[in-house]
Amino acid sequence: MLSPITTVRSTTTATPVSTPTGVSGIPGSTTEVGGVIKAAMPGTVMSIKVKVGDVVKEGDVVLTLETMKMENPIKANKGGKIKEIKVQPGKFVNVGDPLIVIE
Amino acid sequence: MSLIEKFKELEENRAKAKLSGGQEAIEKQHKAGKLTARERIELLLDPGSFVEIDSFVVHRCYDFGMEKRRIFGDAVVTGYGTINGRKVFVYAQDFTFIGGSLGEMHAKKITKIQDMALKAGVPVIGLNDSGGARIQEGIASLAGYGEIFYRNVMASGVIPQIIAIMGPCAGGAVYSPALADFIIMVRKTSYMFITGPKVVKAAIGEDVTFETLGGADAHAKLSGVAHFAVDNDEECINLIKKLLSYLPSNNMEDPPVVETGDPPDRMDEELNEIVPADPKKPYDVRDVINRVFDRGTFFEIQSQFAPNAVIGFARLNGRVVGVVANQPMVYAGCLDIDSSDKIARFVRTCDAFNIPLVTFVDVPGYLPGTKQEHGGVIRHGAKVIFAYSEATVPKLTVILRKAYGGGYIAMCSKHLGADFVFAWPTAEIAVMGPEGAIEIIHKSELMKAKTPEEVKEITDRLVAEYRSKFANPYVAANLGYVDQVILPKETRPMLVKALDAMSTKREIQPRPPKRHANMPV
Repeated sequence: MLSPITTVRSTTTATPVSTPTGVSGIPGSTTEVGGVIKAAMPGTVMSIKVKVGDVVKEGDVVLTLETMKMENPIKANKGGKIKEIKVQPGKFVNVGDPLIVIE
Repeated sequence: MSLIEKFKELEENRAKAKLSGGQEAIEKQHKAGKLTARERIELLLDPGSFVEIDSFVVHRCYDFGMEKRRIFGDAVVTGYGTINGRKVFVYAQDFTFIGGSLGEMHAKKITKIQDMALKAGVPVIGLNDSGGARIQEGIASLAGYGEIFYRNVMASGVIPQIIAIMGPCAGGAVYSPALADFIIMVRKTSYMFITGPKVVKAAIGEDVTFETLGGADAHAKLSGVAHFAVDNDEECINLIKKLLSYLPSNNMEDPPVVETGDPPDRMDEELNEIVPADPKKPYDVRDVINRVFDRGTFFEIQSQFAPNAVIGFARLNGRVVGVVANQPMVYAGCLDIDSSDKIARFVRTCDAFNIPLVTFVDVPGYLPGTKQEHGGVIRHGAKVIFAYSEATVPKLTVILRKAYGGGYIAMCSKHLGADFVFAWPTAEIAVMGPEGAIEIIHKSELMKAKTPEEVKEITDRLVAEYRSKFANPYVAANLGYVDQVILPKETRPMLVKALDAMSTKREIQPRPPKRHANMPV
């Protein structure tokens, strides 16, 4: 039979160390492959915020994708001109499906 | 031999041991972008604190010409020292001699360190860089792995075990790190897999590179095997030091308390703005975490794996806590197979090492679909419930917004033994989301609708009714499932006080005696 551990509570001190760089990762809704914005989650395209020929900056919202009843803003992964829009509102997309191509 | 000659002999032997595989091999190691075993230890430990043992161990293999390849140390450097003044035991495999391969005596050096660390109640740190089993030694090298694994398991939950993969790690060698608490991998120079690309090609015809199959990013993002991926050896060593600052030396101690200078009663007004009232709008839960805990202390773990859940260590008024949160900006923060594994493992790590848990809830439920069901989301999801129920450390929960159905129960609800449950005014604690609920409750009424517009009108009305009546924090607060409804800005002071109140927590009802529980895996 196991005896419960009687925890000895001791408190020591330590000096904090510096934060190493490049450790934290950023979960994004997009994955970048040569200017193609791909779906990082499955979902339904709700609205498209750009037209072919529009010029966008990195981080601009280009469309919204509904996943699990959440309206996820999908951002441009780089600046440039919108070359092609691969989807239309109401379309269901899977992980990895191309959404928008930026030149 | 005179006394002086005897002393000189020792000096010479020491120099030989230090050189290990020789200058040429050391240069090759550097060219590959890697530090040597000794350089790594030097970086890791406080200057001058390293005490080496077993420098003169050699293998005893006489086959395949191995009798001519015998070098002091047998391709692993072992010993002890301090990191920021705290004792650690360490071993570093030495790739410069027969590829750091593991034979009988090499393994014995490692198990000696493991035994000493366990006896002393001190963390053990392994720096792995090894071609794998030393084939020439045959089954003796397998025995060596087995002995190491056994000790990994005996030490599990008693002393922290941190293993850095700083070179190859293939075949059976992967299981010692897998049994440890944390794995750190270095990009481009390290890989882990059970079978390499060659065997993969021969066995199933799949073409794959080392990096794709078992590189640092593959394991940090996809498999979840690695807790951290770093760019080089120095970063890896720094990360180990930082990680250690959040851990106690053993399960009978608390983690070190650090004076952070962040006032415990600080209220952050910006917290009131982060969570959108509209439950369809996502946000980054790390914006909440960073504002609640002591500034700059949140240290995320497995940041790239299953990003729909966020885990990590932080400090709350100087004390270390384990933070678990749903991440609404990825998959709406739902629980799935991978995030369940990630959360459950972390909860158990914290519980083993006396680290209180703070859970932030915004969960719509478990991810639906055949991929999840056939992948075993039931047994994986069960781990979250199991781990939280089993944990006896202080458990504090903050419900930020959605807490629906099974997700509500699993995310450290009062029912699983949470000590304090707080809810923000934006909380929606309900058996399921309003849309799903009214489809069931008001099925007949909805069936009467003739046009899609009519359906929408009725749905919108009923959803609004349901939301105001049931999807709020007060129904749960009326029942005492929520201890207090608080303003977002009050979260930090409330958590500080709750943690204080529970800092002397002990289980008043002893749990039934058993060998061990049977956690679903």
